[in-house]
Amino acid sequence: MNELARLADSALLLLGHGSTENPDSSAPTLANAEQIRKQGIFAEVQCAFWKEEPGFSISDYLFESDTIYAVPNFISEGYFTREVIPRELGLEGPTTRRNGRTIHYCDPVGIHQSMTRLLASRARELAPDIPVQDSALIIVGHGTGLNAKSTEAIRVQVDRLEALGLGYGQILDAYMEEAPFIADWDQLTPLPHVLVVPFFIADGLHSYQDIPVLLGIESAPTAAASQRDVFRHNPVHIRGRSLWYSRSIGTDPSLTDVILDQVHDFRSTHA
Amino acid sequence: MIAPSRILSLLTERLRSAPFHLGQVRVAAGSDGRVELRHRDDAALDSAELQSFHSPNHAREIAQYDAAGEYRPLKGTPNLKRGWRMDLTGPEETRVALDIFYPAALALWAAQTDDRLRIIPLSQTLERQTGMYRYARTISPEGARELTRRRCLEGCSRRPLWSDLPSPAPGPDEIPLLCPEACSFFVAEARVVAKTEFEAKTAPPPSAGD
Repeated sequence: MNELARLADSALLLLGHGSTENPDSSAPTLANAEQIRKQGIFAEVQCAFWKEEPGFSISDYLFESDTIYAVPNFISEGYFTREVIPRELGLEGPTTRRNGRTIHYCDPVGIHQSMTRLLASRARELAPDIPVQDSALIIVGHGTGLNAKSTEAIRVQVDRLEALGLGYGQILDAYMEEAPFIADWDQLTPLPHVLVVPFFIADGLHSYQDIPVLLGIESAPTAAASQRDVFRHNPVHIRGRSLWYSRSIGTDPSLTDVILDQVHDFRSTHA
Repeated sequence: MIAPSRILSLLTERLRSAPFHLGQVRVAAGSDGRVELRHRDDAALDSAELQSFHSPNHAREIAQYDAAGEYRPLKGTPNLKRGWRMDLTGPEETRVALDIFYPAALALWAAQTDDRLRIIPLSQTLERQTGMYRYARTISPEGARELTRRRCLEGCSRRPLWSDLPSPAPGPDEIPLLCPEACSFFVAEARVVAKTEFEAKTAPPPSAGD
């Protein structure tokens, strides 16, 4: 924490996608910002969004500090973290200096090593009493045939979860729009207990509406998470199995620690 | 070291001559240095008729949905719901609440006051778009003006400084709501307009009997 004490004159900028349709999209980013603000680690903590306000391109105005750590609250490396954010923020590399200000551009939260620990604890909390050897843990992402990178972050997490020796009968990756398809979850494993954790930042259209339909636990897309009175009743007995479905990993309050880890790692790497 | 907040000192100074407005929010000085926020159309109502909030973060639940329960992703949309008041301790809490009602508005106002605000021409904003929004740059000048009229002048309380269309100047009782650059909402709609224009140009003329 001594290391973090040195950030007291710096600012943190959390960058989220946001949404013009889903009020829950920016909620985890805003909640994390509020949590970090309360900890008093940084002089200033602000958020900016692609699809909400304030926009990425005006985020410069939000700060009065000379040093800013910008952390993308995105689940993987890709179009947004490599192209859109650097372009909109006018970044020139890991560190950009202009007009007496220094902006450090950190890696997105989703690729940090500590995400694995977060996935493991989320799975354990989801179904604490089931025999893990009879359970399959499925980490689900979007996937798209257009970009090979889109599945890489999840495959890395699955490998790391395997390496932790958690005892699960199987740990698998599955996708909405790419094989192995999450819609075929009961074909992917013969085990009686199946835990599904969406590898997304927010409980948005995908995790709350699309995936439940693909799993077969909803027949039609439903309202946004915050507008429903209950979260899912786990487990759901379906297709001859017990199915546990989690909120998106990015809604976990511990994501705050991952954000700080990314700042810490940037400082270690670029010292 | 961080200098004392310029935004906060400007706001503190402005509060001395309250009441003032920021968009649809009315900011008034209360007793003992307290500050009251409410919808500007509720100015004449008795406090007892309004739902009272005492934390600036409650601004989020007030600003998130309109009176019909529809999500408000663009906070400049002039459909802030009525029927509430916020009783806040002073400038710090007022800043937190106003940053939620109108994100970045105070920061942009401070930048303008200090002559630091950079106005980005629409052509530059559209030109740098990539991916699916690359197409937005093909919008015609007439299409862009019409979209600015509809989306910005009628559909948003912020003043588009990047447009040459006349927009009402802020009154002396207002902190200006500034827009130095077309936002992502505008870019997304510009793409739709550009696409429609393209399709209209390339569509075959209707044949007889259609």
